[in-house]
Amino acid sequence: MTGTASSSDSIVRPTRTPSIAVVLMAEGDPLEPPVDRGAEKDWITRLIVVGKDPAAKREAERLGALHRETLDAVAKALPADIEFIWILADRAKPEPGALTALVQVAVNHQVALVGSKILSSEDSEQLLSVGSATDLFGVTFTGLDDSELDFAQYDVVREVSNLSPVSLLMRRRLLAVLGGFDESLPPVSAGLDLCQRVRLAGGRVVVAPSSRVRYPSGLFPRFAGWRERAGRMRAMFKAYRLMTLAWAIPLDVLLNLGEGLFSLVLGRPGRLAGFLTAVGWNIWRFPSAVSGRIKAQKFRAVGDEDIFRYQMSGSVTLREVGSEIGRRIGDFGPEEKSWAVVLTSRLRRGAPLAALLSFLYVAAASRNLWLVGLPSVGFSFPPGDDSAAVLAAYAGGWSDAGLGTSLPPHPAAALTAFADWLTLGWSGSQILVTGMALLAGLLGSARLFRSMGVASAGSHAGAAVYLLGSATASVLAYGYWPLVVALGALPWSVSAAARPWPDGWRARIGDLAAVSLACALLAASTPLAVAAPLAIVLLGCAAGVGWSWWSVPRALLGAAAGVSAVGAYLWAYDLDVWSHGPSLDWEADWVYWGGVAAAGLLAVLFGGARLRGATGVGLALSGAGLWVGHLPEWELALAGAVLAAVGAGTIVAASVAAGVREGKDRLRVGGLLALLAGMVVLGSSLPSLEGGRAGLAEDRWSDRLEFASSLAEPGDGSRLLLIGEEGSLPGMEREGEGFSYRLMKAGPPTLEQAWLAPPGVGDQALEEVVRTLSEARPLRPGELLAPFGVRWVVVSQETGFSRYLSGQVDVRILSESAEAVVYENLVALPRSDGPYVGAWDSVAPDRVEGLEFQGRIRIGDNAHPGWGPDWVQHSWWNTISGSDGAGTFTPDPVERRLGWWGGGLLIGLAGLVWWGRGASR
Amino acid sequence: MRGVAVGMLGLVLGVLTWAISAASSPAAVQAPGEETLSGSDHLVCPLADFVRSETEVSVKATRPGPIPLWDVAEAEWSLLGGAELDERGMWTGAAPAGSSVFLAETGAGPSGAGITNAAPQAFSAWTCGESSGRLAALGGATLADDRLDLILYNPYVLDSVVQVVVTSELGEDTPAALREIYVPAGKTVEMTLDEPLRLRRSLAVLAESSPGRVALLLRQTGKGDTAMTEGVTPHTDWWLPVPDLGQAETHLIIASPSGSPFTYRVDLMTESGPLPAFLEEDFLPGQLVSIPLSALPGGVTGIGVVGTVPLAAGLRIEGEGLLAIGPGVRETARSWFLPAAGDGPGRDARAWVLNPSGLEASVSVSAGNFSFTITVPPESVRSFDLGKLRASAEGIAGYLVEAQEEIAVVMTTQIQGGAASVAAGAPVG
Repeated sequence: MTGTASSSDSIVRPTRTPSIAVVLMAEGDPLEPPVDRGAEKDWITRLIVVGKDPAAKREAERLGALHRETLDAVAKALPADIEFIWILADRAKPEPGALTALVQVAVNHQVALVGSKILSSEDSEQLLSVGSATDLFGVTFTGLDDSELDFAQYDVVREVSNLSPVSLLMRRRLLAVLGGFDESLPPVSAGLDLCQRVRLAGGRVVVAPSSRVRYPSGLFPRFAGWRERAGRMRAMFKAYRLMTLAWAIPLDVLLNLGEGLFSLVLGRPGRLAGFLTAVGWNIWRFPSAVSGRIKAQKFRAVGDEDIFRYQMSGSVTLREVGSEIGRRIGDFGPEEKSWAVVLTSRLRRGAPLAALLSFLYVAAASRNLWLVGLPSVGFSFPPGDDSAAVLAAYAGGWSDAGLGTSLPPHPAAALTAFADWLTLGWSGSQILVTGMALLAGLLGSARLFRSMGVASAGSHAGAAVYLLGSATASVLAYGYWPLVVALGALPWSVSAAARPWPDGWRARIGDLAAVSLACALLAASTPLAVAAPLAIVLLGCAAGVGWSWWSVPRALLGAAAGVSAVGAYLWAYDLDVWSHGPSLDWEADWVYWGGVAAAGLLAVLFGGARLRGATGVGLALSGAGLWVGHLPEWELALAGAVLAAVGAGTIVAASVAAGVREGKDRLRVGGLLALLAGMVVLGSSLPSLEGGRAGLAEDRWSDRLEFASSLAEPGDGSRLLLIGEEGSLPGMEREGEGFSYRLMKAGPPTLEQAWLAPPGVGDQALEEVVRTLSEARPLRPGELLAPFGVRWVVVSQETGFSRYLSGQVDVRILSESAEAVVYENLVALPRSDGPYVGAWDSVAPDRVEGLEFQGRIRIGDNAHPGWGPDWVQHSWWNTISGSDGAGTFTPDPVERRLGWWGGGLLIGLAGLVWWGRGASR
Repeated sequence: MRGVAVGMLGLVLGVLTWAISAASSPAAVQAPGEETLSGSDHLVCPLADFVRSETEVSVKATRPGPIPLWDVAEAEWSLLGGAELDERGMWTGAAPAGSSVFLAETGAGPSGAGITNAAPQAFSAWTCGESSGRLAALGGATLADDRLDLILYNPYVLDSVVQVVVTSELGEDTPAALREIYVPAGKTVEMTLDEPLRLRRSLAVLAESSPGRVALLLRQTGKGDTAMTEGVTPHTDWWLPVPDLGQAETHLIIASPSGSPFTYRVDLMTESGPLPAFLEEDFLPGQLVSIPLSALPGGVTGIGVVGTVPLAAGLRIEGEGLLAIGPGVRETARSWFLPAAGDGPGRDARAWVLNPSGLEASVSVSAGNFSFTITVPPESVRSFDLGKLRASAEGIAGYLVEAQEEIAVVMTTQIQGGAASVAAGAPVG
């Protein structure tokens, strides 16, 4: 044993009466002196109450004790004749002789810090703590079973890593030198921190089992929650040498990330979130940790190996993960069982494996999203640089998509801009949203299928089909990214509505908020799909999957909340959101749906009564989804695709579950057929692995239009005219004769530009010009396009439109490739111009600025009286007075309020969900 | 059972949807259209001259008023000022000398223009039109004293690369150096054909430009005269009134850019009546058809050429001191513009009207406030002395030839020495 830092102190013989100060750590309860009779009472020369709130001071006055706010202050206040300090938690009830036992151990074994055995005050023999071990990373391991009783099995005085702070005896000089508990740490970590500092100073940390202290078991501090995890990290940082920290910290991070992911797979996201929160807390408190470390290292007398000596080998976290896996997999059973039976048994209990496989499958199918990024195609584009402008446009302001419009951008664009704004413009915000949506979709759909009575293994297979099957793949092939968000939100809205109504009004409010929040996110991504949760709940109740009919009003409330969240959009379009949208078709793969139907029928026949309900729901959703999906309006077709995706997922989940259930031979064979059919349907999604984009189409526009942002003059608001084959342009298109076209802001496409409003007067004028270009072959196409702010024209070679621009004198070729020709308009005009070109700038979509000028300023957007000051329409564009040096668009007040309401509703619902979760902790 | 019932409902819906989608017919596939003629908002007039010649231009647009005129030369686009179109939308004036392009921004709507180039003993005329990605010019020859120049014009801001194919009586006859010609934006490229292609009796030039578009002129000197013929866009139907200028010989020339064989047909209009399908033969790739009218039945007054694929047809008229080359008319119309440029004392200007229809056509020829009416029997050709109108109306910019039926019109101008020109009219309605 190493020498102690207090070796210069005289050794106190038990024959000499020790002088002890008792410190009661007040926590709000009434205090009592720990010892009120006998020799121990004579040893106590000081009684001190420690606590920061006024109640502690009042208790101290009542007891006639001293009061100090911190343990450090106590150390400074005590005279030198005090040898020991007995630190007690305020609810601790020492048994007679507890103090004597502590002192005896401290004196006889020359111990610097001694802890008591803690027993439950409700159950006289239940052990709560008898010292504990930790691993290298400070994770505490008590070694006790739940409700383990004391049979003196641990009654050995021994050195330990950690002591419970409920009852500690410490030498006064040591406390004065090292200081007391770290105020920022919770109880268990604070105890660990103190024990490690004592060891570093050369002291011994010992448990004295003969010292018995009672404590309420329900309130006993345990190593749980993110605060304790953060605390042990801080304790580790303060104690270990830098060399040790250099490998221990990365290893700790890896272990915890791995454990977090494992827990995520098991449906416990709190572990990963807790670890990340703990890391964040430590980063925030890093300066104080550094000063604490400096102080602790100042009195270091031993190496880290003296700390390791009393620690467990390996990792407590890994052991717990291993135990979990073992518990779930189960044992092999008796040897006489056949491998087939064992395998089937394992398959039946193969939820973790199925979950892991489905997670890996979706991760592999989406790998390029994380490695390379989201493709720029269709309706998959990053948010614009100015997320505030997009949000303002959504809330009644002016949108600069196309030739400008007062109609709001699609709610999906606003949602993405909101996420971008929340993350302060972080470029990865959309990837984060995508990742969260995919994960939510995977976990949520599996949970949904389980709630219908499908076994876990089947539910995960169904989840993979839900995300990657033909229903969603055919939509994502258009690059329709908002569907990913919808897929993530939908299952949570249904399962939150369908789960049993909790006890307690707080949890109920949280549940309703969860339904509403999920529906709001669903409505934001695919407005008409907000009716899907209600449809699923209705069908589920009708099919008898075990949901209560009270789920229907909850789903209805959620749908109402979802609709209200996108109120600004619905209001602006007079509720007519289904007749406006891209000219896309959702095409059903009838071979796939034939397979789904076959799997469904087999599941109905051989799945048993329990699975028939789920299968029936799946078939109904698939049929309804196909029916709605074949309607010509895109938003309706999209809602149909969403329903069909849920339907297919449910059927595959049920058919796989039918294959793993027990039954008679005939049913077992039939079940295996159903399983096979389900796996075939699942297998049909394998092509999504090839691209690694979760079904999204290949990138097409990420760097094609980059030239425009580098060539554009700041503030000129230049536009691109894109001409290509139908369905090849970014976002929505306008139709020409044998080609499609659209306007875009200079630069790579952004999400809010993907959707185009119904044509305004300017769009009609542009249509006329484009027709003229293709029919009349004008000598000066540049002059015709100039008022629209068109500085570049990008023509796809496939259209042959280039021949219409081959005989002219004011548009030159900027670049040419096998795919497209880029023309530059030599007579281009900026979006806004005044007395001369360049005098006025386009500062924002809804604002132009320039020299004050007693004349008219032209704004080359669709004419709208919302512009000012002194708006007058000229031809199809706006003119305003230049006298103020600025022109702005006045937002619609109703839409503005609805926009604020939508954003506030999202935030409020998220807060309510979080608050409601607290009821279940 | 509830689950089964709900599921069956879904199955029924799914089957119904499948049945409906299977029953709907696929959308008709739209065949890519041919490059159709359409009204451009400008006219391209390639300019060329010869020794001591003066060039004039006449323009006809839909509306009166000013229009911009440009001279494009050496990559410079110079505004020549404007032309004030009269109440009939016509104007005539002097064109710049040299080989440049004269651009007239006539605006939308049918328009036309013609160029004349007159020297004391030589005269040539040609019609302005649009530039095109595919042009053909016919009627050249490089015998003995003949001189033949090919002039390519690029009046636009995009550089052009022109693939040239020359066919002669020997078949495809393109000199290697001329196969691909780069014509920069705003510039003219001139090259001689008689040097590399000597002693060719008949030549046709086919020019395909991509990227960009060009205009084309062939300048032929011989027989003591100079003839200009413009490049035209190949078409399946051609009408050629055969003027009587006292020539010794007239050749019908047919060429085509088609890379595969096709059938063509020649219909004749003679003094004694029409001879439909007088010739119906296969046209082979790289072939040049040159038919002397002397080998045809006598009294041919008009020719119609029809092919199953686009081709070009023209006439080469030769005589003592006379050389006139011109393409036919590729569409019939009810209204035609003939330029008054070059018209004047000592010059005999005539309009040759071909009526290909089966009905009698009453044709009005007007200039200024004066007009005359002639009747053209079905499937025949009649001519009209434009001097009659010239004498009545002074300072006219051009002539309008109008009929109720679809007709084809060419104009000839002959000077007293015998030199003459033939140029197609410009359809304006």
